[in-house]
Amino acid sequence: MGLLLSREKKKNRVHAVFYGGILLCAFLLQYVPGVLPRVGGSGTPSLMLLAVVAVAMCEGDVRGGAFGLAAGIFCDANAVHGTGYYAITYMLTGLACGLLVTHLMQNNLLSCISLGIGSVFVNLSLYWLLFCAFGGVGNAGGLYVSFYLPLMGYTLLFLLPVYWLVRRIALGSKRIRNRAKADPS
Amino acid sequence: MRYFFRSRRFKIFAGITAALLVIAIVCGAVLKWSSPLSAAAGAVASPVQRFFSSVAGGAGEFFSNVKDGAALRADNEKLQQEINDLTDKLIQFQEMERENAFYKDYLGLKEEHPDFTFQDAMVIGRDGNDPFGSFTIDKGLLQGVALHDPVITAEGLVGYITEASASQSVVTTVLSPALNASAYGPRTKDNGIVSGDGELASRGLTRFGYLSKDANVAVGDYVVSSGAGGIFPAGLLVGTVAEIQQDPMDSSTYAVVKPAAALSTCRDVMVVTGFTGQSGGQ
Repeated sequence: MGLLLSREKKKNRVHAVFYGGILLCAFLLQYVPGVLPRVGGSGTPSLMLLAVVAVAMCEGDVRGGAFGLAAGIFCDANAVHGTGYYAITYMLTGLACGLLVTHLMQNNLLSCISLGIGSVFVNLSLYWLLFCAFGGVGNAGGLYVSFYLPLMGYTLLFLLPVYWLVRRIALGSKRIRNRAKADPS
Repeated sequence: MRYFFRSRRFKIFAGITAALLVIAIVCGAVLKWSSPLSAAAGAVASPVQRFFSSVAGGAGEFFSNVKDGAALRADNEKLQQEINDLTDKLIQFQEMERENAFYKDYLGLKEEHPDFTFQDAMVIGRDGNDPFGSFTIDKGLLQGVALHDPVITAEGLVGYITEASASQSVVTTVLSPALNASAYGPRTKDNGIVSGDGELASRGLTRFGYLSKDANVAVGDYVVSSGAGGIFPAGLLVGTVAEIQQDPMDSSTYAVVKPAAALSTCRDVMVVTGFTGQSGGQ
């Protein structure tokens, strides 16, 4: 059993490396100029947010929150508004999605779509509310319609591929853990 | 031994030898063609000889290819290495050519403003959630960049530094309402404030507002920073007037300005780290 558990620990580490790789890829795709086409002149899809939702659905509230915190810290390094804003919001998003999947919903495609749409809508709307509407930006309503709504749609195009990728990684490691628990010898 | 020379066997051998000699003399010296025996032997042996000759030739070619192939492969690798070295040099040359063109653009600006101190920087990230095109550059406090330092390209004003960490900084562009730059039109000397607007930002435009009632700004006029306030130096081109509009809220006039710098596509920028009249501690 000791040997299986240490093998499981190694697999978990490899699994953590894969999640780190997803985080890095999402970060580079979202922030590096010229990789993805932009909407409204400057908008790129929030791939980091989708990764947070997917990981939270597959790994639960604590790990989802931790992943959200890590993703948010990366985003804050390039954010123009508020150091710590993305760290807090993405951590809370990860926590909320993890809790919902653990206690109320199942980890399936329908939940993925609902949580994805909900998270993207809430996060981008909150950003608009805090930094555009309350920030005194002229014609904030027009900005919401012309920039943020198309950005939400653009982001949601990537929801299913990101979820599928994260689920593949999560299922791979869960199989290892279950096998280790079922066969302790 | 005596008995061998008297034996029938010797007589047969001698007869055959004599016959061959006669045939050879007759065919070679008199008739001038090969003896029928040779011809018959050749007819039988020739196909066999042809077969083995082709096998031997193929084998020879094979071993020759193996021997030459090794030499050709070595030559090929040497040439490929030379190609790789030349490609690296070409890339370096192209990079230097680009940097040269980049700095040449700023030479004019430096000659016009000898008091400017610059720090070149590269755009390494753009905030996708910000509709005003803010971006991150790869220079920070350690490289002499400070908060509120203006950021420019050779074409004109881009924005200013709103966040500076040790090795990178965030730039807010002229499209943002957070930026307020005192500016004027050189032709008419009309003063105003350049600041962003939500609706205009989505079109890549900014606003030159707070113009006086009798302002004569027209489409096509340049808008240049005035230097008031100490954030932006005087004389930096902000853009050109694209439209003249009336503000519905207070009936004042404002100009819609198309920024001179390519805000959404610029890759290399300059941070003006110091100039005469710069206000400090903001």
